[in-house]
Amino acid sequence: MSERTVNDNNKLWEAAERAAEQAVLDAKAESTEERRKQKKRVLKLSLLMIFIALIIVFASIAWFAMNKAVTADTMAIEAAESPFEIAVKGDSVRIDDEFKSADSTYEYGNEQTYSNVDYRETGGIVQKIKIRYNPGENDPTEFGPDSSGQIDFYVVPKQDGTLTVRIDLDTIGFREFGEGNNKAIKRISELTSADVPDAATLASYQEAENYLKGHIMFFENKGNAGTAELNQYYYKDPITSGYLTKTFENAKKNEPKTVTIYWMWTNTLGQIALKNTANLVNVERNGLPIVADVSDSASAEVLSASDKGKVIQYLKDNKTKIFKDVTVTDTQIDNAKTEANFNLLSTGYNNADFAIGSCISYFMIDIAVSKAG
Amino acid sequence: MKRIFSKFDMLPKKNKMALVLAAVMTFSLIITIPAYAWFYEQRKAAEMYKVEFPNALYLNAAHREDRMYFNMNAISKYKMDPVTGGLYHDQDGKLVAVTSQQYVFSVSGKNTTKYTLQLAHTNNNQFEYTIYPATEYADKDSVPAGTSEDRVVEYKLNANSRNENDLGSINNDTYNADDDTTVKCYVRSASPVSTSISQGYQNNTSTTPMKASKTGKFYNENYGSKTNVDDDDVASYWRSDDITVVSDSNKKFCHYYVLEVTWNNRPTSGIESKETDMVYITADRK
Repeated sequence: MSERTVNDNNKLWEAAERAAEQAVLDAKAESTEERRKQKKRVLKLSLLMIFIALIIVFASIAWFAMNKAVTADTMAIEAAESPFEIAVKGDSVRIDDEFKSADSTYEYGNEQTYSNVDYRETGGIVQKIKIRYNPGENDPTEFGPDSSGQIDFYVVPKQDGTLTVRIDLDTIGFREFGEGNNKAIKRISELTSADVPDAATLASYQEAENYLKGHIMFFENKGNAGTAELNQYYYKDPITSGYLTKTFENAKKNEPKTVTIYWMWTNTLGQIALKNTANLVNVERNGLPIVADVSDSASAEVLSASDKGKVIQYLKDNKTKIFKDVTVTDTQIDNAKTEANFNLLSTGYNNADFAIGSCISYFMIDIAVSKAG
Repeated sequence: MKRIFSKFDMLPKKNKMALVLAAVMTFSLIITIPAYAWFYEQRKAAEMYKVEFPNALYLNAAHREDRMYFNMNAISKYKMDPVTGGLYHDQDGKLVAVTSQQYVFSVSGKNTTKYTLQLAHTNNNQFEYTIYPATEYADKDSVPAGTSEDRVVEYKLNANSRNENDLGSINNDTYNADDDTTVKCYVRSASPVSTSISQGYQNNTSTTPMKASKTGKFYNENYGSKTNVDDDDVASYWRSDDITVVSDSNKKFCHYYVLEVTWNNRPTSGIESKETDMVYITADRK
């Protein structure tokens, strides 16, 4: 001790103090770092929690929207149904073998009986069913221009109360390949270059499907078959938008509601495009008009409100789906009764019909029903 | 918010990527679950239909044989033998002079309600052409008794001759095996295919001798402003009334016609040196 001077002692003290200060500073720095890390962890966790919470919220909303509440009932667990199912009835499915080959996802449906009438219904895992009909003796086996049909199906409410559904209508083309056991029916939209000899063939098939979608038109109601032939027409209320909405007021659970859709592949363009087929001068009346005639001098308002106006507008809106190999203008469609326009439009329409007939082997009318509103 | 972004900036690259991925996946889940639920609510029903081959009209020889068997070359002044295809000789071995020859053709098709027949020909030889509806009979014995001889046209089938017409069997038409070479009989109606006033010849200026107009749309369509065209080369156009079709249960039909070429009214002088005429027959679906 005695050997150390006061100065030395002081120096030591200072060093010790410095060391202590450093230690405190270090500790301080460590805890700040720690806290920052902690904060980060909390933030991460909370973000994750928010995400999980969101997922759960949306999933459960979806779950409730599906209305698939699971109820436990003594021994059985069953899933409640969606707000509606769809059903069909009839003896048989048209060209069922070909249907199976073309699309195996459509099923016959679950057997159900409502008010002593047997139906085949969607439900459970069955979401797509085949439309059925009662075959008659003189049913056509092949469908082309001038063919038409009526499709009946049923919307079966699964809850009491008003039900609004949206019904989407689509026409899908299929092409048959091969023969005998190698026969395969493929969706035109799913064809690849491996299915066809060359790109031009594939393009012609796709183009033909497009014309098919344009040439098959849908209607809500039948025309007036009973009156004199000159005043007759096939249908009322064309569905030109590709879908319709139906509301069933005060629907009762399990009481099927009938929906009838009419389709027609019109034979000649004049049946659609000519406003007044009864008094033709330049062109010949060939077949009944598809919807009721209007006067050639009808005002724009009267025309656009009429069924004829709607189908003429449909022609204008879907020119590329209706006319092949010709360039058509709205004015030509509006003035279809002049000989030159009529010949041009008819040629385009018939060319498209020919393309459909030579490229498409089968077509499917596909009806999708979903809850609306 | 600023702090969150700065925190994000401070994160190591690996963590940044993980966070972004987690966010994207979460977002896609948020989108897909309701979408899936919506699809789940959709129900579908569908019906399949077979598309028929485009409805077309076929113009063929007798018995729907290929067009090449509708053979009008070398119109003979003498009676032909339908079996050998050569000239017919009577019991004394002599040729039989005739004033007409008859040729059978068919119009068949599917999904057709009406069509018209059209005929165009040049007038070099001053032949007269008349189209009659006809009925097919399996053989001579089947032809109804009392039918006038000059209304019966015999036609020997050719083997493997039906490649153009793919309509197959039609109810009112017996369609035999490909190697069938029997002789069919066609009986033409007493009166020709009907033509109302507005139909018939469209552009003739005179009938005997037959001359087509050298003005008007038919001429202009062919020759435009050219005027130096031989009178007999200007084609005469003829068309029928609409012919209504009664189809079988498969919407198919087959009609037979006899084209009669006569030279009764043909002027005798200066005509023998002429030899060629062009004849077109078309069928137009309405």
